[in-house]
Amino acid sequence: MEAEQKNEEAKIEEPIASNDSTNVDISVQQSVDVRLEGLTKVFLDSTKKETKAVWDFNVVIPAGKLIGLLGPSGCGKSTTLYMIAGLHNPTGGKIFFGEEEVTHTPPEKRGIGLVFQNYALYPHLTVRENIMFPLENMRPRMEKEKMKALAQEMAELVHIGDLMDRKPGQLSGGQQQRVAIARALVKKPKVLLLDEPLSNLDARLRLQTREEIRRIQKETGITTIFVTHDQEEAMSISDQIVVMNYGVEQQMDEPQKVYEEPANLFVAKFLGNPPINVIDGVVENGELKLINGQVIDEIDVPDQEVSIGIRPEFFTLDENLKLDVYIEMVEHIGRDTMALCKIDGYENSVRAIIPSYKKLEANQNIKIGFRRYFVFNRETGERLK
Amino acid sequence: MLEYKNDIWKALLALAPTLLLMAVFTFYPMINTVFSAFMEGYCYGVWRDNGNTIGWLSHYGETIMQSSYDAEGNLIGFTETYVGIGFGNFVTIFKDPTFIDALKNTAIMVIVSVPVTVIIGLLISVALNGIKKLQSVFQTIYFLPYVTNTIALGLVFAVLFSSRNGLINSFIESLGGNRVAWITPFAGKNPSYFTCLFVLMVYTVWNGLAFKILVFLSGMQSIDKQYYQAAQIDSTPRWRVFTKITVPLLSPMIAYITITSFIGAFKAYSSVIAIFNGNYGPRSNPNMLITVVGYTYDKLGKMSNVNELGRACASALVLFAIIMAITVVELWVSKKKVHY
Amino acid sequence: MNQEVILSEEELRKFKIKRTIGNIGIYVFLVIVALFIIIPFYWMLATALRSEVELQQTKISFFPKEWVFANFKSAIDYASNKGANFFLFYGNTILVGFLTTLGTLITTILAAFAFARLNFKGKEVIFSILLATMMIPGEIFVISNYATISSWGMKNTYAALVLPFITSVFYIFFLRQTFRQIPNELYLAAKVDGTSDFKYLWKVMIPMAKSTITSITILSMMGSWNAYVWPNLVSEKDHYLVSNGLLSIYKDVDGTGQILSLQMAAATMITVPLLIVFLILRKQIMRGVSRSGIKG
Repeated sequence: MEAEQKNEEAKIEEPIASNDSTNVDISVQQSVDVRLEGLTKVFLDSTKKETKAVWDFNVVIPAGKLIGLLGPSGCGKSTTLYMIAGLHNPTGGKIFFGEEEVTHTPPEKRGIGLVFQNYALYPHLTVRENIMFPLENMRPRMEKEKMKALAQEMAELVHIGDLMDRKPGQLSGGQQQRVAIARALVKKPKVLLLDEPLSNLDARLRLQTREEIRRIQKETGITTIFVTHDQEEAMSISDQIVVMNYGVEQQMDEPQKVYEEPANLFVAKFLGNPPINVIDGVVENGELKLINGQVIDEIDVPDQEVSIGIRPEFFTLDENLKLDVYIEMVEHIGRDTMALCKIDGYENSVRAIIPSYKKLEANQNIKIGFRRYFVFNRETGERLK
Repeated sequence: MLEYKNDIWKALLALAPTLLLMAVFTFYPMINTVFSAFMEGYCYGVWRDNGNTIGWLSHYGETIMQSSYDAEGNLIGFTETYVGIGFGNFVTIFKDPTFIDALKNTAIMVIVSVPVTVIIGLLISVALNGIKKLQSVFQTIYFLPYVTNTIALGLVFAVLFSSRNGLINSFIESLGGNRVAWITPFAGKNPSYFTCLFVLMVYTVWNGLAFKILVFLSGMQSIDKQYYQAAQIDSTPRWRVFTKITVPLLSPMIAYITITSFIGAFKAYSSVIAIFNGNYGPRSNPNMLITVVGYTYDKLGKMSNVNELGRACASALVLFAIIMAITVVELWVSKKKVHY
Repeated sequence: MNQEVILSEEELRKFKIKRTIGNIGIYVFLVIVALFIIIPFYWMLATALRSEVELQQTKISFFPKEWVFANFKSAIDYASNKGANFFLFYGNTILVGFLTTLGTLITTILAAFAFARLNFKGKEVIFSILLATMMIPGEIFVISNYATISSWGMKNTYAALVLPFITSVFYIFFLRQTFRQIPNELYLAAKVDGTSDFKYLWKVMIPMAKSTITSITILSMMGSWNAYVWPNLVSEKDHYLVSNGLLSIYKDVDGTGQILSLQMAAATMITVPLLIVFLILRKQIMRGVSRSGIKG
């Protein structure tokens, strides 16, 4: 049984035939933009304590784009998604699909498709019945044959056309994911919502599936919002990403922009692997200093205590900006070399990634260069430079 | 929308059948039983038609007895009303030697049958858990009593222990022993309390083992095999494995089974009347092994007598009180002893 | 305790012999218990087949001397002579079992659904009250229910046999537990598609709780087959269930054992159908009983 499944999976998932989709009719519903205006969600727990899950969230998600809602767990991203779906009732604010306000529209009237993190497939129904399930509630009633044809069409779109008579329990995680997407798309929704779509897949499948989601989104042109805590996932396929924390939007932009120009310390810390190095510093009389007194740069910022952020790959061996460090350890990780550097006066070491061809030895004091850095206010985390 | 949704109307619709039926057949009887138990001379009315009871009436508040007669002078019914609230019914039943017998008999049955069934059940389960071949065959055989009719098999046990030509006496005789008057008289000797109780207990154990073995065995099969493997490496003797590993890890099941067995044993009734063909004892003493439940139903059957209903209720409440007390004590003990 | 790591040949042999003897002991024990369980069944069948003459003798053989299958017919005739219909007992039991089970399933599914899926004020309170009634012995209810049924003039009707038993807090609890194990996302997914709560119950919850519902069905049917006390109180001959028919018609009144073969023939006819059902549905029944036992 297991071997058979594996085979099946290999057959389906590896050769993604690009011409497959051309003969499938994907009559694209006109895609709409999704506008959230001051969207707020406050939960009351049993002791009447308030938790701000989402706070004054304003965003316009352009029609036909793939947007990633990114944030650590508990940041309110899933709540936002559920509010867009209509499963949660906003405490305040409005939701628009195009010109139409849907804040109080029940989920089934919004024209959305939702893919759950654990796929939420009905275990007692076959793949075909699962995909047909949403159609059964349509009024006026749809003919059985029409439903079957639509289900087949969606299944072909996600490349599971030959698994229609199986039960979800007989499918691999990746195949279940496809069934869930097909089920979400079968009613030709205006907006597709995906909750942590890749978190239940293993690393190899994750890579394939995210490309698959990208492809399906491109082919259907449907406005797609997906929620994830995995930055790589969000950055690799999104047209734009929205970074959230504690229910508050931190930044929205194209993935690379967000990475290159983080709006604040949270975004800077959240994105990037290995994470950004953050070291304390001060600005005095237009000079940016480390706490050991070393002046790094001249800076046009009022005097204050700051956090300096340097991404590991910002370090080089031959730039003007210099830091005196002691190299504690060197790790060769293929193309690059990672060095752990101790700065005098700091407890934590900083991590630098340098191309491997530049030879570095451990246990020596050197001057290490870096090509850029971010400066944040230490209290508010706001980006200063 | 969903987290604030209030489904009170749907809930009412879904719960209506259950709540309605329970109001009539659970909650009202509960209150009514308690009331009736404390009403001395509690009133009920019987309406008869040629000696058949055709209807019942209840009235509260007057203190007279009225009899109604039809044109020919036949009693067609009478009502009696309660005279006050108090412990009269309880006093009456506790003065009734039959009730005292019932309490005594029930207590003896509980004390004998519960430990015996639990221990034998445990031993059988351990033995069953220790074998691989034929395990499911044995398990199926041991489960058979669970799916049989209590009355039918009670009659069978009466036949098995028949003094004249029962299997047991034939077996004793073939071993050279003398026949025993188990539950029917033999050679002028009437059956004794002990022999009757013995037969009843054998049947009770036979009947009760199935469920206990099933629960114990499924409990044992969920114990991590590593404990046993570890014990085997140390070549721990079987008895120590049983007392030091199996019993402690099975203690939640043992506690559960003990409590339910106690409750079940206190309610003994069907097994008694089956063995004694509708009575509570041998012909020489038909009330020999009457139980509290039997006493209650007897009172219920004789409701044409003055306020037997109140006494039935009082007796049922005594049963309830005993069961509650035992349950509380056992829960308290098992909290201390059970290794969860 | 110092453990010898290496056993000598001799010790190993001794150890193996000990194990084998132990295993034989276990099998002997299990076989004895199995005989203890089976012999009553055998004796029931053997007595049912014995001739009247044989039963009158004081020496009785383990196996019947001749097999009088006519005893089964005689048992049925015996009931007819006493103004009762043995097949009616079957029919009554099956009818009452079917109606009780159907009613129980309807009330149980709806109530478990309300407690597991719906939101309403007082849900926990009502559920706790229902659970508390499980502590109360049924005998408490029987007394008043008897009065209720009598005062409604419903004695000796099928309704009287069925109505008090078509709710069960225990089954509600049992099924609610199963319902609650269904992931919430399935419900949300159904809501996104506009599925109503009752449709969700029918299309998703019930199919997914199939094995629990099967268990409840089996347990409820077995309950009717075993019912004695209540039918005995409220029924006359024409509404008797099998247990009542058996005990009232085939009572060995004078203790002479005249009718023992008929009594045992009737007992056999009542026992065998359930045993056959058990052997067919063995796995489901045992799983159902053990699951309901452990969870209850």
